[in-house]
Amino acid sequence: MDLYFILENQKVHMIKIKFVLCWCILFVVTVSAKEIPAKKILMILWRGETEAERGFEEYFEQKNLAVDIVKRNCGETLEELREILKEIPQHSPDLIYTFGTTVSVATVSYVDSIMQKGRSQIPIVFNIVSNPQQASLADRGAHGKRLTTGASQSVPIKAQLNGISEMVDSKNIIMLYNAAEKNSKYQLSKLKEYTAKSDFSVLGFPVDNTILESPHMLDLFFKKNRESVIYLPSDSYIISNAAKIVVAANKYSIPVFSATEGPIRDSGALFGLVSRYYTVGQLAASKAEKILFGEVAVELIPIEQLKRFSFVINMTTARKINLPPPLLVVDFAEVVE
Amino acid sequence: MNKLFSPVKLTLEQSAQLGTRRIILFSIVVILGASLLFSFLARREFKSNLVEQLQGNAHVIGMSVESTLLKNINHGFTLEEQRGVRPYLKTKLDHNDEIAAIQLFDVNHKRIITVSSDSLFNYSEIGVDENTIVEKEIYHTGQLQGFVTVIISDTYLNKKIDAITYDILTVMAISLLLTLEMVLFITGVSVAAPVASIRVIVRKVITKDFRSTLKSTSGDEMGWVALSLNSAIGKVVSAYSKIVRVKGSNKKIEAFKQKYALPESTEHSAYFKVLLGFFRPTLFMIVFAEALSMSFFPLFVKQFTHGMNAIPNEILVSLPISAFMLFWAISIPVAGIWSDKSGRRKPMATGALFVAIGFVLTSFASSFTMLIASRAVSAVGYGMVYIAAQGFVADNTTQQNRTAGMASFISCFFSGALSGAAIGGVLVDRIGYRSTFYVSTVIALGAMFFALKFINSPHIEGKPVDNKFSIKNFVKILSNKKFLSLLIFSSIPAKICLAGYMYYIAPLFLNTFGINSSSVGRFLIAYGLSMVIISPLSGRLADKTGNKHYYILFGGSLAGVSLCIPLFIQNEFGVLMSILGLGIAHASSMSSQLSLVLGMFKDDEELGAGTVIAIYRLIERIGNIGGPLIAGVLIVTHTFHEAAAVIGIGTAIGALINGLVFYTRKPEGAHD
Repeated sequence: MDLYFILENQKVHMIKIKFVLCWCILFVVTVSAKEIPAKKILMILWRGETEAERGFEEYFEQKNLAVDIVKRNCGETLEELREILKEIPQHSPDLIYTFGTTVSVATVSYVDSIMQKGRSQIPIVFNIVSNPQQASLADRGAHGKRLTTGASQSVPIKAQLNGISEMVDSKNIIMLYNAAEKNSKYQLSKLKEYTAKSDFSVLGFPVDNTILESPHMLDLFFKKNRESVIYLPSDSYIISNAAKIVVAANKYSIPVFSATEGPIRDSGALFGLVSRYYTVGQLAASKAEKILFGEVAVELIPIEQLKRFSFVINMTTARKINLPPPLLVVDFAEVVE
Repeated sequence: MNKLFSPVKLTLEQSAQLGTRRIILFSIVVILGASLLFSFLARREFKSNLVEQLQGNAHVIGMSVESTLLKNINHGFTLEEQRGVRPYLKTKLDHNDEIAAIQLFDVNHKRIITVSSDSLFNYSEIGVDENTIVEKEIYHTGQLQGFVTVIISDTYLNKKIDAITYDILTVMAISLLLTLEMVLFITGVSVAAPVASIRVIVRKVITKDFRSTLKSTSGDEMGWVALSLNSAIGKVVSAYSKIVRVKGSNKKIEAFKQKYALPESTEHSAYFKVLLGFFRPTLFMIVFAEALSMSFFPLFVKQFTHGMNAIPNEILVSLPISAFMLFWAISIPVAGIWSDKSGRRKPMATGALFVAIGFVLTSFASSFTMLIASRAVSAVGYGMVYIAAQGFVADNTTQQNRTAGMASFISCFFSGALSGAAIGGVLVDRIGYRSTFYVSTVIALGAMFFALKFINSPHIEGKPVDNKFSIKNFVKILSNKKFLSLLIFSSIPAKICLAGYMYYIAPLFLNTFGINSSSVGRFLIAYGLSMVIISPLSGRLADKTGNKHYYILFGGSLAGVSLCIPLFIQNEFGVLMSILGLGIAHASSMSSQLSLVLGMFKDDEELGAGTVIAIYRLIERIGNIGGPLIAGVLIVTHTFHEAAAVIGIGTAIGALINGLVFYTRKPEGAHD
């Protein structure tokens, strides 16, 4: 055989080998990449999904970050919450997301207890907690570290009162609150404390199922307090029953201020200075990202609230109670129907 | 006036002077007429454009109001039901100075509300015309809901037109000054100087001196006369040379040479009479270039002081100004010696170049240190031009007309400063800091050209070059009590007033009244105008009457009083009055100061004019350097008007002390 022919043949053979080798390497790399597991997030909700959760989830989608979210809803019952907490070891999440003060406090307590039994820490990111400090969420656990971080939707009281002054003339605030909820009572005390040296007066009106299911009682109360403005705090019970409250207040053209967004959009409260749940959810997600993908320790991530808020007005309610928003307010406010 | 149009036969010189005056008058009339016409047309055009622009703004505001109203109207609320209308419209007015009032009308054009920026606003009394009202209809789902009317403020309109009118008038005044300078110079170069030169050469010929001819380069009538005269002289010299060549030297030729002064060769020395006014273009342009930044310089410096918290900002801002004065002072003795030894041309040209380089560096300055360095370079050049120009004046004047000569120097100096300060403010508002410094650079280079072309280099005939800047001379001068008194109690305080109040406090003070850079320049005009107009008159009067120290006493006292005016009139008018008063004070006294100083040592042959002026100006710089620093320290702890009053009171006291010294002391080898 001709030597040249032999050598050329060998050359071609080498090229083929290299080609196949490259494809093998590429295949292995691709497969390896696909095999990187998504981070697991256990979402414990109090009253089902809200805009906060949507904001949280969409954050990861927008950033193409692989997360696997498991959602569990307490249905506003403590028993269900306890059951869900017991499932935590089973889920083995990389991170726990909690909604609201009740869920967050219970979850932190549970995780702290299982850590004392030798289990490794599971970071917790809370969302929509109006007062993390008051709920002791900023405290360190038994082993000396802060277990949780998160985002608060609270708006400074001063800003809220300014918003109320801009919208209505009345300085009499009646705060409807949940007497069974520590957080709710705390908000009332803070409001009273802040307004003590101002020209606002604050009256707390505890509501429960008895009152809310009796239209006559609510009606009587509002009839006596027509010259007031109703204040709905950041309380899940109040938020859930906001529609009933608003209907009763509208009958006497009493403006209703809400510290959260939901009652304005969904239940017809007249106005509020609020943190957009969606944006707070995104803020919480940014903290979760640092923990899951940035490998930053929880205790190094500060608990935060938003710095910019939305003034939301429900124009349908404004028309109903014949109270057009002042032009300075309507100029910058977000208007909803 | 009769002399301008007199049918009486005049001498050549008188004809030249008459011609010069006619040219100046004609130039002024043409410039004034053209400027007035231009000003009228520009003002009219500006007003028309401004009204159009304001109408556009008003329309936008109307649309904005409509849009906000519709947010409620779209949800069923009528125009009459709106809440918070007054505070809302008030914010619109607060953010738009050009709007006098906003009104809402219902569909029947019945007024719902009027909100105006002036509480005394009465619609029916306002002389508004249709151009100043903009009306917007408000529609909702095709139905007319009402009207919003936006009324443009007449006050604002007039204020803007006044501002542009002032700018136009400023430009007009500066044009006149510039024209005057150029006409004076051109007529000097092309008429007065040739005429004077002809006179000198003719006199020489009459006295049988044929060694010089005229330096004639112009192609006009003067040039023709010069050529004819040169030709005649040339024929005589040629004939003589021919005779000498043919006959050689003999008794008759020697006797002829005794009687007639003839050149040894066929080369003649070309003569051109240097006039006193030849220094003016160079000095004017250098001072003009430097003064362009006068009105905005403290504000410009503030950009470089961020982060420098160890020293109060007010003192920091004064440092570049003081650095300029310091290096100006340092350059003076060096420039004085140099100009005495090598003539006035080189220092003036070199100085102009330094000034140009300094401005380039200033425009590119990126740090506080670099800014100070660039100012130092400019200051060195400035000092060279300054001293050489005064030396030139001293060279070309006698004791009889020295005060008038110095007054010419001062009026030229301040003419440049005035023009520069006024234009600088207008310029910087339109083209920015850096471009303004570029303009200064170009002008400084132009000054260098004039120095090279028109300033004579050789020394004045007959005057020995013997100036020495020695310790001995220094001590001799300072041991003159009157000199010392004049310096400490009059000259230095005058410079403190100038550098500390005019260049530092006044621009910052005016800024607090919301006056922008172009307007600050207009205020500083008052000082310059006084110097330009009053200084020559005062100089001539002082030469005529003698008793120059009375002029100095008057000037110092008036300066002191003027700086106290803002204490009682705490607004921009008070500042204007103080600047004007300071101008009159300095115009009355500065030329007398210089003349008096030179007169004190006129009999001392070891002390030349350059040395005396250099030492005087050097020590006087203490006021220029210290002025901004003193002002800076004062305004840290006092208000602007209090700081001005402190400087004023000090100046007045100094003037009185100096007056007493001159009144009580006998002359020390010098007289008034």
